[in-house]
Amino acid sequence: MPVPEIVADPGEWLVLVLLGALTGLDSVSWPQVMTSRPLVAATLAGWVMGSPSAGFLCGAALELMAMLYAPYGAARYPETGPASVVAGSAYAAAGASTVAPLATALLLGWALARVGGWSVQLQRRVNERLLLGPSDLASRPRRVEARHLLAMAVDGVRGALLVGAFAVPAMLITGLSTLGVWAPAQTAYALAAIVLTIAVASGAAARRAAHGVQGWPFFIGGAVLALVLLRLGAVQ
Amino acid sequence: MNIRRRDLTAAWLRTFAVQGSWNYRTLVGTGIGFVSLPLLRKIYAGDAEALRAAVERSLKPFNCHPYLSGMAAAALARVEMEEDLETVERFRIALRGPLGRLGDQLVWAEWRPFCAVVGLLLFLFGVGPLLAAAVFLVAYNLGHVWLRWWGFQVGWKAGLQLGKVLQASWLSVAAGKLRVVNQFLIGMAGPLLATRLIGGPVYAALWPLMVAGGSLALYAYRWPTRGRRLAGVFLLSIPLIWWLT
Repeated sequence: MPVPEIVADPGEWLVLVLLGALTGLDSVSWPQVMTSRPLVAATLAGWVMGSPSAGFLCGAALELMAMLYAPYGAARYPETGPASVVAGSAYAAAGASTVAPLATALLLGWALARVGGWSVQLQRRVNERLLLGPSDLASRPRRVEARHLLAMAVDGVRGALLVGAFAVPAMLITGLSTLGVWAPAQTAYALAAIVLTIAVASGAAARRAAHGVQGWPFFIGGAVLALVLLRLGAVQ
Repeated sequence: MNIRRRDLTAAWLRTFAVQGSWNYRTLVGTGIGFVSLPLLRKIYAGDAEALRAAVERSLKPFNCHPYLSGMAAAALARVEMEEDLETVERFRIALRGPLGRLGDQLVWAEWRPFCAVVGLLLFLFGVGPLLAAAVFLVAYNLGHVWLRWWGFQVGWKAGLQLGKVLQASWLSVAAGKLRVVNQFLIGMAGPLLATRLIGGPVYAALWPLMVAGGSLALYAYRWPTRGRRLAGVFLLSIPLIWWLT
């Protein structure tokens, strides 16, 4: 049976899995240069599937949603790297044309970010065993280094597994969503829900980005300027 | 005890991997041990028992922002070189809190959202997706790598005096400066991104949606935790509505 076009070929899948390992590592372990942010991870994944623009758009929405969370101390947060690779590649592979694949990719991306967050917690328990399990590790400094590097390798495998397991199913689901029949009212509802998602995400992100400090007139001012620019046709 | 530039560089490079073994019992403690090892090996060269004790100390619980971990590790190594053990322990405990809070405020709450939303706006104003993502990465990392490098240098030079040096540094002054700018830029990004995502202006014959969006954005601004739950509810409702109707 021929492989449908909406699914990555084995070469693309492998690149996406490597991207999963890279972004999975980047968010906590190494080197935290933020390739794990949706803006970058989803764009690169979209690029692999032939449409960096689609990847960026999907990543931009996820970025606004992810901006609500910051990795303060031992806080639990959704992990965006591998999730954005999956969502960005699925949206790009589906052709990025209608509202259905967008809604599907965003929903899958957000759900997978939760799964990723849970896997990070599991990884941290594994790290405890690796580094704090052996008695008198301090007397063998080379073992401290080896175990630290092993923990990082496990983290990379974690990111790769997330993408390896979910990329193709996500592409299939997102691709199939384009085949579904959407009544005009359902399409209108989906469009409205996406707009409202962006609205609440930006409101909450603005407050969080201000570290809880009030500055709502500036937030409103930015939104008004954007609406004026849209009205004038300065931005498409 | 003969610490050379290459030992300092080795320790600094290791700070990029400081959170590689982050765990709930010691937080970034084991990572600080990993970063400190090139320096501790030189400080306690030829004395295996003293090295073992120093490594054990360095693996204990610690918390700091990853980008300022080099500052902590370098200052701690300096104190290991020059002070008695009791001072080392007390200094380590004193360092735990402030470097985490300062880095969180400056990097996670300000610098990263600022760079991300600038990259996002560039795309919405017509810059290509790869270039916009690259601008975000390059701008963010200019600040990131410089902060790591500056922090390491300051930590190594200041040693026990790190607290005083930090108080007088730009770091304490800079925190909070981008908050207002970020709010303005995120305010701009919301309507522009929503318009692009749905493929048309949000206001044309859609003013009820605009009013609802604006109201909900302010609601989420007031209660961010409820706002983020609402975002999930909206996304989840799309397939449910499609399936049920």
